[in-house]
Formats: sequence, structure tokens, C-alpha cells
Amino acid sequence: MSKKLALFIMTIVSGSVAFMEIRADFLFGTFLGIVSLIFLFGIMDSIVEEKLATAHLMVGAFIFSIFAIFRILELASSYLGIVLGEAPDKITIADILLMVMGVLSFLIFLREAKEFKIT
Amino acid sequence: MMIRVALAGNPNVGKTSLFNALTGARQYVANWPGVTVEKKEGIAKYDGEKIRIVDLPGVYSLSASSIDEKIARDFILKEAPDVVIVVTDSMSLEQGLYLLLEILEMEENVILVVNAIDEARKNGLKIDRYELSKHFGVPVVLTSAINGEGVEDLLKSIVGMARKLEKSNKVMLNYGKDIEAKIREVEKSLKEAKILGNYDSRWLALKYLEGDKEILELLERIAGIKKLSEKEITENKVKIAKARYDYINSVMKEAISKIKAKMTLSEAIDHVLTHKFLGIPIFFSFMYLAFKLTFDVAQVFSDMLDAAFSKMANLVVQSLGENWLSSLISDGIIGGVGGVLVFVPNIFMMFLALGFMEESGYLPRAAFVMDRLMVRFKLSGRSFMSLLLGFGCNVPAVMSTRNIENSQERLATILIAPFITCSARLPVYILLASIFFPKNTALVIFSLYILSILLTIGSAIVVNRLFFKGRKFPLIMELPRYRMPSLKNLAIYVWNRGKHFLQKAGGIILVASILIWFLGYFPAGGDVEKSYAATIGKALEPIMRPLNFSWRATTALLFGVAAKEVVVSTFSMLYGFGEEDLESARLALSQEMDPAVAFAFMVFVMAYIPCLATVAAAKMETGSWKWPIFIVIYSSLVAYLISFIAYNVGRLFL
Repeated sequence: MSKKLALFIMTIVSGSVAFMEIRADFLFGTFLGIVSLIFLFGIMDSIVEEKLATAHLMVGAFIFSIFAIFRILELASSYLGIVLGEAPDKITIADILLMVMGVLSFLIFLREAKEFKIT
Repeated sequence: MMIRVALAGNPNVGKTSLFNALTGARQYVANWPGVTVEKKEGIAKYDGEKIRIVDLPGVYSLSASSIDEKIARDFILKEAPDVVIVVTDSMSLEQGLYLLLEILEMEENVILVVNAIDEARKNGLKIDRYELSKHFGVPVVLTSAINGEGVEDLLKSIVGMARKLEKSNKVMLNYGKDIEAKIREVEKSLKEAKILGNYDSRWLALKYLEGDKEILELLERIAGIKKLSEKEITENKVKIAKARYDYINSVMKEAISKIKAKMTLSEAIDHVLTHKFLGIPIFFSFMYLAFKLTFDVAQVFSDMLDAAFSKMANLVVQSLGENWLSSLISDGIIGGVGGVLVFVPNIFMMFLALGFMEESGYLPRAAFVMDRLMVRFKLSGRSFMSLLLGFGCNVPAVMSTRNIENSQERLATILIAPFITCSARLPVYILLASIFFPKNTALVIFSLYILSILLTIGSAIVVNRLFFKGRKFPLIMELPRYRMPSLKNLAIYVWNRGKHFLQKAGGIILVASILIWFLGYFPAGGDVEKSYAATIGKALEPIMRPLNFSWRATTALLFGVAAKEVVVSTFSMLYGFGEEDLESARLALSQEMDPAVAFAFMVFVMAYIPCLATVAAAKMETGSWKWPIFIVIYSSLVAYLISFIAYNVGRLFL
């Protein structure tokens, strides 16, 4: 798959997840939306240099997976709260999408990182 | 006899890592320049010799234009160590070799260390240490402080040099006809004036020609040598630097072989993280995630600690009965200290997030990205790095301004740093935000942090207008490589920063808690309304009346000057919820506060007088009481004003 197409798909997917998350947590969704912009700018920057598409895809995917990890941590901590008699957070469809995409994004990050020299 | 060794080098080349590897010390090693702002000492032993190693602050030259450079230069000149180790980074050797040349002009016993040699190998760089040694006339050791490679060779080389088994053959760089003639002229005057002492005449002459302020004044005062014009200095500087770089580049061509490089991972990440349009939003995203970790993820652990302290306090009351002693232990000590300790998970989580960003090498990028904004307020990204430290504690933020070369920018940063909301204020925010804004705790606290940043920026404008002409200071900073943070280094970072909070809990907060308990318990035997604390608070209450702060809240603010966490201890004692849960705190506080007052109170805590330790640090760093007094008066006025606005605006919406 071409990098530009991958970036386009990731822009749409991350943007959609961000939009869905905004309803539950405005700030979380808004900042997740910035990841979508990273992919979008990747499409534009790749016009100047092809390799930059890979850079955007790699970094965007990594940050997306960080957001997914944070949501998992947040849910885990709310489930720990059961010990104190608190009700845990509800897992929404947006959360499931975020987590699945988070795993996928991490795999994308690992794959794209191989294209650069490790320093 | 002890061998005395100085560890010098550019910032962020791994000096502190090497220092730890040599001495077994546990100094925190950050992945950004300027960690060592003061010299640190440690002892190593090798082949029956005791070696005292001093880790000097990272510098790019020895011009004494910043405090770091002065510390490093003074140490080498005045302490005359037996051996000076110049640590360089294998990946940015050029700058390190420049410093080496400068040091070689003033010191004979020098060892060159090329650190991070493993990184060089990964990047296909081959460094020939024999070539380097031949051209610079010093022993060269290749090390990796991370995996310990070459550390033993270095110790061997230090001992060898101290025992005069190894020695350096001083390189006398030729700076060209013009400069050499000037050097000879100055040297002649110096020798005639007989003022050389420990100083090398050639080095003094070079510093004079480069326009080193300290040396110019010294030579004018003692030897009567006239000061140079700015034009002459600039011309000399260019010629001297060119000669040094020409020599370094010619040596590097001989000593380093390299395979053709493709885009590195660091370059790829940098392209996105320092992107013209995305850089700042990405930075704010990371800060938001850091707050989320601090407030949302860590909160459950705080709640667990809270429950444990409540049980402990109940147990004390049940065992001892209701008397002054059980009140002292349960309300005073457990309520006061425990009320603060419950926030340990939040604070440690915040340091974990900051540590991750620092360790990975992201923070200098954040400074670089924010420099574009900071320059509008007559500050630079370097100030931003100091200010970022303030989120942990204002004291290191003030201390770290030593890295800022320009004295005006440095002073401006010291004056505004206390507005950065430190971790000690966090317990107050968490307590009040959880009670009065249970559904938007993270959002409210995030807004306080944003307000704190805005206030800091606003104050930068005010300070620059009031005291300085508002020059712009360009940021020149080396960006370190990205690296995956090691668990060990992260743990050291979190512990080193977080332990101060624990130490404070066992020190000043414990003492303050007992004092506040005394003032709240006597003379009426537990009736707070008739206590000494009430007398003090009620006397000050009229001043805070426009903000609708009760005498209890006013007393808490007064005691909070000692340390901000004490505000929570005072609350728990004066409102009597130390031994209870959050619900009791909510009930107690709700009688005197509503969301608007609570928000105004948090705003006041965010902006008012910094703690005594910060005031003392500002005095130490500015060398005058004038500036700390300015900080106290200015912050009090600003806190009052913005709290008043927050309260009145809050009444309309909350």
C-alpha cells in the first residue's frame, strides 16, 4: 500500500475515533484529533519529500498508540476503584475502536521505524 | 595521596553518566543539556589509588559568559586538578574537540574521552583513537557510559597520567600570522607585568584577544593593557574560531570514517515533533496526557491511601479515647501529614510523565518549539526549559536559570518562575477540584495550569517592560538524540524529585501540622472557633473578604507560605476532616465555599507568594533581597487581583 493511501486512511480513522471520543471526554477527543492532523500533514509534506510520509505515519501511529495506552490505563484504574466501592467507567464503542486501532498503530510504528537508521 | 580529576565537556555528552560509572554514584542523568548546574563530586578507586572526581557543568567554551562556564573555568584554573578529562560525544565530536583545544591551551594533563562509542558504531562511524591522540597530543579513551565500555581503560589512563606514566604533548595551534603576532605582543606585556601566577600566558593572551570580559578587565587593571574595541574583538574571534575549526576538521577527516548516511530515526521524529504547524499542538497534547496520568490514572491510588489513613486515625481515637493526645495524633499528625501524603501517587505520576519526556529527549524539542512563542515575550526556549522544571518544584527552576547566558533573560526567568504552578500546589487543587468539580476535575486543574502559563507569560511582558529594554535572545541549543528511557533512570528521576515531597512531609509539614494543631486546639480545648488560629484568621479575614474567603481559608493561605502543601494540612485541621473521607471534607468545606469561591481560592494558591524555599533560592541566585521582595509583593497583588476576577466571573457561571 502506498504511504499516501495509508496516511489518508489513518487520517480518516483517527479523526473518526477522535470525534467519537469528544462526546465522552471533550479534551481527550480534541487532543486525539491532533494525531489525525499529523497524518493529514504527512500527505502534504510527502509532496516535498517522499520519505516524510513515512516519518508522519510512524510518529502519528506512535502517538495514537500512546493515547490508546492512556485510555487503557484510565479504565484499569477505574476498575481498581471497585475495591473502594466506586463504579468503574463504561467501555464505549469509541474506546474499543481506540484500543484496537492503538494495537494496529503500534504495529505500523514498528514497521515504519525500520525504514530509518536507528540512532 | 588523592588524585584530583575534573570531568569537563559540552552539555549532554554523558558526563554525568560517566561520572556515575566511574564513582558508582547515582546522580540523575537527563537527556537534555544543563543537568549539572553545580559541580558534583565522587570517589573512585583503582590500582590502590583514590581518585576524587568532580563533575563540572556542561559548557561549550570557557569564556565565562554564563555561570556554568565560570564554574568550570574557575575550577580548572584555580583548583588545578591533576587530570582534566574532556568528555565528547562520538556523534557530535566537532564541538567537543573545540572545547578540548581551549582546555589544552590552559592545562597540560588532559585525557580525551569519546563517549557513546556504541552509538557511533550503530551509525557506521569508525573513530580512530590513535589518530585523535596523535593530532591532539593527549591519551584518547573510547567509552560507553551506558554499558561501561572503556571505563576501566579510563581509570587506568587517569592513574597513569597522575603517576606521570602517561602524559600529553601539548598542541600549540597556529592561529595565523596576525593573531600570533598579537599573542606575542600581549604575552610580552604580561611577562613584564609579572602577573601570570598559575595562568598560562598564551591562554590569557588568547582570551584577551577574544574579548573575554573577565580577562580584559583583569589585564587592564593589573597589567595596564588597553581594552580592545568591539570591531577588533569580533575580527579576532572569527580568526581564532576559524583556525580551531579548520584544525578540528582536518583531524576529523583523518580520524573518522563514515558510511553514507540515510535519514535517521531522530531526524524523522524531529521533522514531526518540531513541525512548523504541528509542534505546539503536539506539545500541548503531551502535557494533557501527563495531566491525565497525574489526575485520572493515579487518583485511585490516592483514594486507597486516603482510606488507609482514615482507618489509622480512627484506630488511634478508638485506642486512646477522645482526649488531647488522640486529637494531636489523629487530627494533627495523621490528619496533617497524611492529608498531604495521600497525594504522593499523583505527584510521583507527574514526575514519571515529565521524566519520560525528559529522558526520551523530547523536552529540548519542546523548548525549541516553544522558542517561537517565547521570543515574542523576550524570552527564549532556554527559559522555557527552566520554567518547565517549575512544574515539579520552583526551587530547581530558579537554580537552573544558571544555564541562561544572558543576565537579563536570566533575571526575568527567576522573577516569573514562581508563577509556574509547582507540584506542592497540586494537593490543594486536587482536594478542592474533586470536591467542587467532581465531574471535571482534570479539566479544572488543566485550566489552572494553562492559567499559570498565561500568567507567567504575562509577567514576562511586565517584567521586561518594567526592568529591561526587552531585547530578544536567540536560542542556541543542541538537540540530543532520542532514546528509549531506561527504567532505572526513570526510577532515579522520579525518586530524586519525589523524595523532596516525602522529606517535606516528614519535616516542615509535620512541624507545621503540629503547630497548626496547637493553634487550633488551644486555648479552648478543641473548639476551633475560639482558638488562637481563629484569632489570627479573623484578624486577617477583612482583607480577604472581597474574595469571600473565610477566616479558615485565610489562615490556610497564611500557613501555606511555609510550604504550599500546608494549606491542605490546615484545611484538614481547621475544618476537622483529617480523619474522615472525601465526603466529610466536601460537607465541611461546602459550608463556607461554593464552586466560585473554591475556584478563586485555587487561583489564589496558584499565584500567591512562592514558598520560603523559592524566595531563598531567588535571593541566592540574584544576590540581592530586592528581587525576592519584588516577587513577594508582585505575586501577592496579582493573586489578589486575578482571584477577585475569578470569583466574580465564577459567580456568573458556576
